[in-house]
Amino acid sequence: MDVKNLITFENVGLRYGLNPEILKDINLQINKGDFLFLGGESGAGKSSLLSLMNLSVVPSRGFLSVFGNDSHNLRDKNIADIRRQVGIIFQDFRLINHLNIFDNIALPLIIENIQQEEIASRVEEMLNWIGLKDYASSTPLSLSGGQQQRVAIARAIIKKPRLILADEPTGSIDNKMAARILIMLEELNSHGMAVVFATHNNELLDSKKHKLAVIKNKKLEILR
Amino acid sequence: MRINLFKYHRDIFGFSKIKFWNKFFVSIFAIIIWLCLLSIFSTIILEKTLNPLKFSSNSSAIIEIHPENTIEKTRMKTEVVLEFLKTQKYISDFEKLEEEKIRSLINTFTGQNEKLLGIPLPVLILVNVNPPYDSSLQSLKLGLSQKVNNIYLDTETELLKRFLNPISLTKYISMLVPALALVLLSTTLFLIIYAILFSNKSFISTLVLLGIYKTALYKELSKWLFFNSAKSCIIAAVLFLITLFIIYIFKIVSIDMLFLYFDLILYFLLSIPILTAILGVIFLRKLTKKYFYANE
Repeated sequence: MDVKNLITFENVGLRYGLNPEILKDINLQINKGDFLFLGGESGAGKSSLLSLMNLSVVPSRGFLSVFGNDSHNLRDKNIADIRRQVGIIFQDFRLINHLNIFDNIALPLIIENIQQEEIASRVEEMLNWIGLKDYASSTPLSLSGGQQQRVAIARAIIKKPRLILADEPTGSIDNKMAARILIMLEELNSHGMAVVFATHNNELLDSKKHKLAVIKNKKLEILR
Repeated sequence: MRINLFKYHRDIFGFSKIKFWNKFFVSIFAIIIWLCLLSIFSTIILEKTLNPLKFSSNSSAIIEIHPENTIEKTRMKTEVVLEFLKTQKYISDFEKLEEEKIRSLINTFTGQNEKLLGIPLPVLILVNVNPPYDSSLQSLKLGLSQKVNNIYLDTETELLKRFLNPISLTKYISMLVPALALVLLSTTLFLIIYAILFSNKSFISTLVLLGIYKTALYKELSKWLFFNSAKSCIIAAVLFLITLFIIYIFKIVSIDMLFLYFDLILYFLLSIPILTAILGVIFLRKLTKKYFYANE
């Protein structure tokens, strides 16, 4: 297996229960260092496609491989191992409100049982990078939407994942902050992390010349 | 690194440092109401089903009026007893047995003996009393002794048993209680664990998507779920006991039925640790998979 190839979809279809397929004949390859914009209207199936990538759901048909693992042959433990190599950014941030910003960012490292000193230095580094050094002991609810999204990004990348899945990361923030978030993700991408950026914001999609795939009529079209 | 990830999270009553009134509180409250209603209705249904079938030998007695010197005297004495029975609230129903039936009953002890045909027969009245049975039977005994003499209240002889269903209540209880306990316990545990998971849906799904499974934090999550479920079950059992107390105070059902439910509580409490552990692990895995994996 080529180490550069992170995710492969071959004729993948997805349905929930007995409902009709919501994704059909998906063919896509995401390689190391790729920056892929994933477009499509709201409800087109972007989140479902990301769910397939983080193995929240398995394809109803077709072949899906994540980091060289066939999705149909994975056990819960393997799925958790794969997820720890993926950074996920949600539109609603999904920060844990009773933990402070420091602990929220540290969470993936705590899950990995990493030494306290290392956690402290890496979280410090992240707080500096997202510009929220003074907010380490604040709770998420005391931050603005843009600040919370930056914390969510820091949490997603603190382990230096091979792949970042961003599901509408700019959906809950203003345009200025959205542009800033995009720049942050591009910076991470320049360090070799693959980024899948799902959004229905066409302005944002047109603003950059990254790879673009759009879901239309349940099928994925690669536009550039 | 140690953080209080679960310390402040929502427990049985939704106590969290973030919000007090939340959906979880409502769902737990709903479960408790459900439990109380279930216990009241099932108790009433059981009582109504069992009573007409006369499964309990505690609820019946036979009044034996021994023959007097003359038939007229015996008849008058019988009239007095029947009138007395009509006015007593603790009597649910009574039936004066026909002569033929009495004779056939006596024959079961003496065999067919023509020499006995001339002997005057006692009058037998089968009486069913209302709960609480013991006290009703005592009242009947006292009332009859004050009203007439030379009368016998038979509550436990072989003669009485011939009128009653041979299947004893104990047998039914021994079959019903574990089944009821299992249904009640499983459903309650399911609802409680579901409520805990559902109310913390965002929190748990985030951890699951961060790859918590089979890590030290996952063990902590399971432990947290276990203790919360156990705590919830104990609280549910206590509330259940309070419900039984209310049932007892308002005399909704007989004391016998209450004992059945005390047995149920006992099963409930004894099986909490084992069942919570089993169901907790199953539900944690199944429910997190089913409801919290997808981020749509």
